[in-house]
Amino acid sequence: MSLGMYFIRRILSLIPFTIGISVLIFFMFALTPIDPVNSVAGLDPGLQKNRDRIAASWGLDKPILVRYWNWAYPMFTRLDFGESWTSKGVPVTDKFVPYVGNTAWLFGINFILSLVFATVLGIVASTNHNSVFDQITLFMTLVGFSVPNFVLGLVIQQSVSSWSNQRISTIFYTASGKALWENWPAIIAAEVTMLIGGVAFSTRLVRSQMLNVLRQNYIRTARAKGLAERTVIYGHALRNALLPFVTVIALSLPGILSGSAIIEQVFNFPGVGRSLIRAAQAFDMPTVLAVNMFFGTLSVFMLIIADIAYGIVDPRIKF
Amino acid sequence: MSTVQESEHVTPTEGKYNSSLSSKVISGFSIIAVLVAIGVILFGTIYLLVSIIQYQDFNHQIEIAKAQYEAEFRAYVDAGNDPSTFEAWNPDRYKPTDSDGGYLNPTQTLRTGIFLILGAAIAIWVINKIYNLYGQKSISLSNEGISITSFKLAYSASSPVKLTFFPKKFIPWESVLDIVVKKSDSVFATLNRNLNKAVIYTMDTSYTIESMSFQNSSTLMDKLRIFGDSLDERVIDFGYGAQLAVVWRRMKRSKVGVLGMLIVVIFTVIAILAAVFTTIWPPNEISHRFVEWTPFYLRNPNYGSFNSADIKAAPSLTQADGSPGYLFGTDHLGRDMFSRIFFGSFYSILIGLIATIISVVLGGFIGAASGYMGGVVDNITMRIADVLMVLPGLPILIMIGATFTPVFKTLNIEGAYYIVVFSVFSLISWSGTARYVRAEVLALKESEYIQAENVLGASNYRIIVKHIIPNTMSTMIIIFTLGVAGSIQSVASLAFLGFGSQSTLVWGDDLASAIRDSDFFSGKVWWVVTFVSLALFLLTLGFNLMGDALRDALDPRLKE
Repeated sequence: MSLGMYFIRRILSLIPFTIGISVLIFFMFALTPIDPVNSVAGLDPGLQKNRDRIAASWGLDKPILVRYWNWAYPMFTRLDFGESWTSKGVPVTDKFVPYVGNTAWLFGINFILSLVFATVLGIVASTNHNSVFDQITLFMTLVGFSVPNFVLGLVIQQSVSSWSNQRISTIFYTASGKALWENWPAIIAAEVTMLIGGVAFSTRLVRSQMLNVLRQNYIRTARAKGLAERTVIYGHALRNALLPFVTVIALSLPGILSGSAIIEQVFNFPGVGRSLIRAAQAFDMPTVLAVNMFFGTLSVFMLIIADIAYGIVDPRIKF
Repeated sequence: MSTVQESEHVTPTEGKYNSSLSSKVISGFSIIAVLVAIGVILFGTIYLLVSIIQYQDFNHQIEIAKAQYEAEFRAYVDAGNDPSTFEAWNPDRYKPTDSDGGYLNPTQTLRTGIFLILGAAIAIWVINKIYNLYGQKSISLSNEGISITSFKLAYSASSPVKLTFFPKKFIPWESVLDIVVKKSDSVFATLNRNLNKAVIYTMDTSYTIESMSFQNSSTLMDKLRIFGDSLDERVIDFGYGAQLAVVWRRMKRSKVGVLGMLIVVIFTVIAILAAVFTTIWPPNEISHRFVEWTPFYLRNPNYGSFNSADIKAAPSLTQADGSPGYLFGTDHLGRDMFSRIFFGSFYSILIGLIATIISVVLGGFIGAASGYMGGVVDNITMRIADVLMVLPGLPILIMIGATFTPVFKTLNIEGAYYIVVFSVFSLISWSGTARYVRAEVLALKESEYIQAENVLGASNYRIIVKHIIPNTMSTMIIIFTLGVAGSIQSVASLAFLGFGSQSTLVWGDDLASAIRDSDFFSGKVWWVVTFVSLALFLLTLGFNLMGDALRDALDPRLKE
């Protein structure tokens, strides 16, 4: 099978995956024994007589399978996620699509930086195995791995604020109407917060992979034939160590993206995660479902890209 | 099998050794203590039954209150008033009361019942241990072996009434691998230095005989020592608990692992204390809300929550008169942060544990079954696991939280909201465990002893439960330890993002309310976030350190 066929087959596997995700997400919400109308009508008796009207306007008066079809069919055919429950007449896409770009570059920068830092740290730690630096790195990565990222964000906010003697809101939150880059202290702080967790996770991976590879026979052969240590490590060991790393990083992406909600909430960053939280607080369920679908599909997409990249990079894999 | 050469060992001469007076006294007390503990268990069961009735009563009273509220509202609107000016539903105004007029708290009743039953069960277990070691019994040495006869109730020699509490144990000399006589390490040995104990190792278990329990114990110990010395000069250490001892010995070598374990143990003790204190003196009860001090020299964690806005205090580390009074300071409502962290530890850890237990057990069973059965079952399960694997965790958690929040706004039952949300979440978070366990089962399935079981005609259920799952236990323990840390963080994240529950105090709650407050933005109230964050971080670090050390200790491929 050629690379092209493999590519097409992997892309086609996106279809059952997205359908599976949509079924899981929809029924997890719809099968809970809770009437969504309560969120609005709740215990307000004045709204009780409007219950049927609210339910009908949200499409809740139909059987559950019909509801799923009405939700999923426009979504898959023309990317129409329906209408928001809280703001009348506003399509759900308007609620989160404008923020996708912001989240993308915030996380893109973080992703690239964390890969670079992790690779460097992992190489230095593994080539000096059991040295003081290695031990410190190992312990620090565990510490960085254990800090919940919202906790780190709040502590950074507090310490910068008391150090510069300014209010947190003036440093980290921008007034509306300003450009995003004018909020640079918040963006840097958010990047640092995410980097500590991300680097800790990836460094451990790179280090253990490198240690594994450095024990192999072909590394000994490379050294025995007199290659420079640089060539051995960067030419032979690193390339082989990073191969399994690609898949693991791709699999960890859903987790990284999940963290976006918290980071964006802490630093008041206008991204998809913050729009998810606002929608969930207002009980705007179509938006919540749509953002979940977006994150899920994105994860599958990343996984497929990683698979294909793995196939291209690793010469041992035959299609 | 037997390492004993028939010609080498010296069979002890016959003899019968009866209980000493102290052992009879201990037996008497044990019987009384067990009877008391059984009484406590019955009492606890009554508490559980009462709590069920109280839950029904609770819901019933809430329903009546709602109906009354609706009627009031209708009357208000019919009188020509504007509906929007009517007072909103306030769950505190309609607190169900019991027959004495106090606040009806079914959760507290349930928790008291569980505590009583658990406490009594632990007590019975401990008493049983003590009884087995020091209780009244007699030992007979014969040419065939040792027979240990436990306590019997015999009212008189002529009486036909004989109650045998524990059956007679017979250990043939052939099955004895070794007998070691050494100084006793029991509590009683600190009072009397001359006490010895003999440990009899057999193939599958070990018996300990304390010298204190017998008359003429020095003769007995001498005979056992002589027999032990005649056996091979080695202690055979694969009896009861030997595997655990190996794991513990390996675990001890990792200093950071022991540190992690220590942190986890300390936090667990704090959580249990918090649970006991809440049961004795629930801070959430109406009559306790405006009392500043609990009876345990701690401040009431809710003191200040229900005060009106004019007594609202700014966050501070000191008391109003300037004297230092708050260990971790107060938050924007003047609540003591130390006792909030202390009392919040219980539900944070409990919910983390529940969520992880459900997902690990579910994942273990699904992974074991799908790996063992293979074929269509495996295919379908793994495709579902693939989809679950790519679902983003936190957004799904937010969705579940948002779905359940409206219900639990009116139903103030402690802990219920988080337990429901995380139980639902566990149903989708099992895929990681299932994958690991499945991979291990696929390797195990090919091993000879599973194939032998198959040939012997064992059922799938038996093979999975008796052989496969115990063999994947070490993987599950590691996943569980690392998973608890993640779950505790998830609980805090959910509370922090504003999808918490008013009736349950967990560690993220204070962060959520703190950052909504204007005092926080001044950047001067560092203690509001620091100490809660530190507690969360330390506990997570503890679990991660412990998990890492356990991974090394449980790995059979790593040699000593």
